[in-house]
Amino acid sequence: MTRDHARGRFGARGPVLTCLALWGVVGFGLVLDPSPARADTLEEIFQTGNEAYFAGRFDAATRAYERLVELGVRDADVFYNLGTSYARRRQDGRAIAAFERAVRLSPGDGDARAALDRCRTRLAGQRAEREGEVTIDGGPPLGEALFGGLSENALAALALVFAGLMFGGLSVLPRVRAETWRLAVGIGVPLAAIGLAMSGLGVAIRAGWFEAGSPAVVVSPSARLLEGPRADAQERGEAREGERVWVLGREGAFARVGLSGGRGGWLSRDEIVLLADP
Amino acid sequence: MAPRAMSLGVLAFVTTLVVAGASSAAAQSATLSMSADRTRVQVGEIVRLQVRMDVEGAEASEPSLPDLSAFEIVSRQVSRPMSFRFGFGGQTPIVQSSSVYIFLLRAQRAGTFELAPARATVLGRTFASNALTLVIEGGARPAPTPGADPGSTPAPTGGNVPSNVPPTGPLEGAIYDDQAFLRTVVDRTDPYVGQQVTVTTYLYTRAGLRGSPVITHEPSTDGFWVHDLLPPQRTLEPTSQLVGSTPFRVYVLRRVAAFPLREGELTIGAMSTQLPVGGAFDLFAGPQPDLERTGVPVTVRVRAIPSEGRPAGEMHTGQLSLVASLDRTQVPTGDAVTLTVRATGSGMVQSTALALPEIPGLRALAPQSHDALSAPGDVVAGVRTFEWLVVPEREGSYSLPPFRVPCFDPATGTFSVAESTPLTLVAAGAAVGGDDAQAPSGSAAAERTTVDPDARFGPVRTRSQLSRQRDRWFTAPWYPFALGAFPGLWLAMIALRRFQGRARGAADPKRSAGRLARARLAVAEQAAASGDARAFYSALTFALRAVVEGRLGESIGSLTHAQLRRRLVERGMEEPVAQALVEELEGFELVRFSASGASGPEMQAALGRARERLSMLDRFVARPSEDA
Repeated sequence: MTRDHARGRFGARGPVLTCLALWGVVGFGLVLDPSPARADTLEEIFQTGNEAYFAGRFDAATRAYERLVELGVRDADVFYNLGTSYARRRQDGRAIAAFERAVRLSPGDGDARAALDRCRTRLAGQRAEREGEVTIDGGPPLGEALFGGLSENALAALALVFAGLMFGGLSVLPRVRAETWRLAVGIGVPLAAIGLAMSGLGVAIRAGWFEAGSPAVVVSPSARLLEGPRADAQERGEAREGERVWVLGREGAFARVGLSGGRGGWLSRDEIVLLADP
Repeated sequence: MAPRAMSLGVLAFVTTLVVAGASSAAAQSATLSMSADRTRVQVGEIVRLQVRMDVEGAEASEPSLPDLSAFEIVSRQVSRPMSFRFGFGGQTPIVQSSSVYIFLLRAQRAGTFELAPARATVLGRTFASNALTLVIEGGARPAPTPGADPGSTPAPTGGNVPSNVPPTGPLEGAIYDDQAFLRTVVDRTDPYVGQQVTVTTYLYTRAGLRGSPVITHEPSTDGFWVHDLLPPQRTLEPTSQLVGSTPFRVYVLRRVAAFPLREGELTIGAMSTQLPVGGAFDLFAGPQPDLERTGVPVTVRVRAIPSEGRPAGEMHTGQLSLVASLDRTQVPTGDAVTLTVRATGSGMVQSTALALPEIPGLRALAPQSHDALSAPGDVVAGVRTFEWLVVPEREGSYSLPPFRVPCFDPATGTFSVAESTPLTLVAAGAAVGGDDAQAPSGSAAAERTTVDPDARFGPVRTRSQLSRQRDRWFTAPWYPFALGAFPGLWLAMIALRRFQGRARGAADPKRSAGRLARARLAVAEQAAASGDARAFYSALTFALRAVVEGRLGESIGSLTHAQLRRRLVERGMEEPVAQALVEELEGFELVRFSASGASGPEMQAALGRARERLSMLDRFVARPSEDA
């Protein structure tokens, strides 16, 4: 009855009005779509940071790039700029964290790697001046040593290619009659299997599946390693600025971390920067 | 055996005689040819004339050459690329020898010149080459020697000659010796200060060398900057030259580019060398003692660069161009930038000196320079690169003036100024360390003027995609499907193959019947175990009939036993076998209801017989049915 009533009220124009209403809703939605405005804003923040950097206002530049990170930007160029700005402010711990993130996003970024090395060298030099001598852990992480500049996506693509080659070879092997081709496919299939295993291992390493916790970098010049998640807890030792730690758990304002050499303890969360999004 | 060996020896001797006779008959054959690299030249240009003589069976003699008076003989070179001999000692019959005479001729006057054939006499017979016509066109001035300046006097015997060929004409720069001597040749005798003089030391020797000459005394080059033009590792390749009427082998021992550093008379000293002469097979005379030879010094008159029209500054002799660049043109104040200037040209580029002028607010560290020199075509050229680390200490725009180097081109006798483009450097903001730098305030001023070379971070990147999500393939929803698609397809293919195989088996009546028979035998075994004779024999009958139907490809249900026997024989089964099979079927039907057949041993025996029949039927291939 209601439908009839409505039909009677709008007559034959009912469908037309419905379409117009739908288009109106869609158009309104497009007008309200925040994406273009957001892109402009991000771009503006980025340009503001660059202008501040070239004007020598590195603190303002840092704030702008940090703002981009807070807004969810995960771009290697932004992290590179952030690291550069921190390095100009001689905050090498934070610079190392930013450069590390840039390298994790873009393993082939030679500039970021070079800047990372310069930061570490400068920190080590400062420590050497202060303490007389310093030991630098110069060895690259396992994933980097094994897979160099291959990114996660490149390794994932390689895994696809090797899987295709391996199972394609297995599929055609029973149909191949020529002895030479049988030999070639017979050799190629195990090689592709090895390649598949290696690329899969690379993906797993790059993704941090073998890491005990979330990687982070100590950014405080003097970070106290505590026995428990309290400020008055007994001090167990010190974590150096720029040092890599693995976050194993969180409690309040503290994070339980593991360090190289089997050390562990609690650090204030303000004293570390995570290299991956939690 | 002995007669056979003797006959072989005789045969070899006769063969040798025949070959010798053939070579003797082939003697007195010679071919002469005359050619030029071009037949139409301008007055003053150089043409390359070649006369080649190939003689078979005799030594190639000196040919008589056509009249070349219309030309200046710039160089003459003789080579004997081929000479094959058989035998030992002096009585060695020559199979073939060749001689090539190469003349570089400079056309002196216009006209058409008919070069008469070259002639040679071999064993009393005269052979002639082809004639050649050279057209010399007038109007053009004599071509100057490349690299020579208008006011320069080329060396008397120098000029436009190939660098590995010694100059002809008067034997200057040497003291003649009929065995061996050294000769020093310069390409110009009155260069300007800084102009390249190419100095070549030749070794003339009549005997061959059994080893490399050892230079026992290097020539003095006081007043010169010297650059070696020959590679340190090379092979000595001789050319031939007649000195008077005596042929010599000529080696290039040393070639250097010498740049006079001051005006006046400068002398290139004499070289001394030890020559291991003789052949490697001096078996009878024994090894000859080494020869000691010393060359003669050569003096050049170095002219000062003309003072008229000379621009101020330290002069570069030769050609030069300057290119200046900054690695960054906009930097934060206190940041170091690299200013690079590349000086490219010919001559003593490595002695080019540049100074960065004092610019207030701009501090420059000591420059670093490095050179890259080469000598293509024996002309020394290269690049000198200067690098300054420049630090803007104050905010502002800095204008870097162009660098200038005055040049004198000895080829044209003119002056010029090589000049780079001016550059602008913009420094903005506070000094390195930032407005909230961590450095103590007391040292802030000092830090502004201190450059930490390790702190050269940046500049920041001005472009970014600003991507908000990290695009990780292996976490994308499609990735597991894509990765699992390959093994999935492979397994699907295997399954499809098996299915197809089964389908094929089902379609094949023989295979189907076989499976059916095996199933029935299994039923029969179960019946035997339970003592059900009726079911047992029924299963055996069914199994045999199924296999027979599968083999024949037709139904046998309506046939009597006699008809079945005939049918089997018709389809190719042997009569006794068919008879036995039919009797077995009859027996199974009869015993199915008898008590004797219900015993266990009897059923086991029947099962064994049934298996034998089935095995026999497996080997049976039925002929095509006549009905079909």
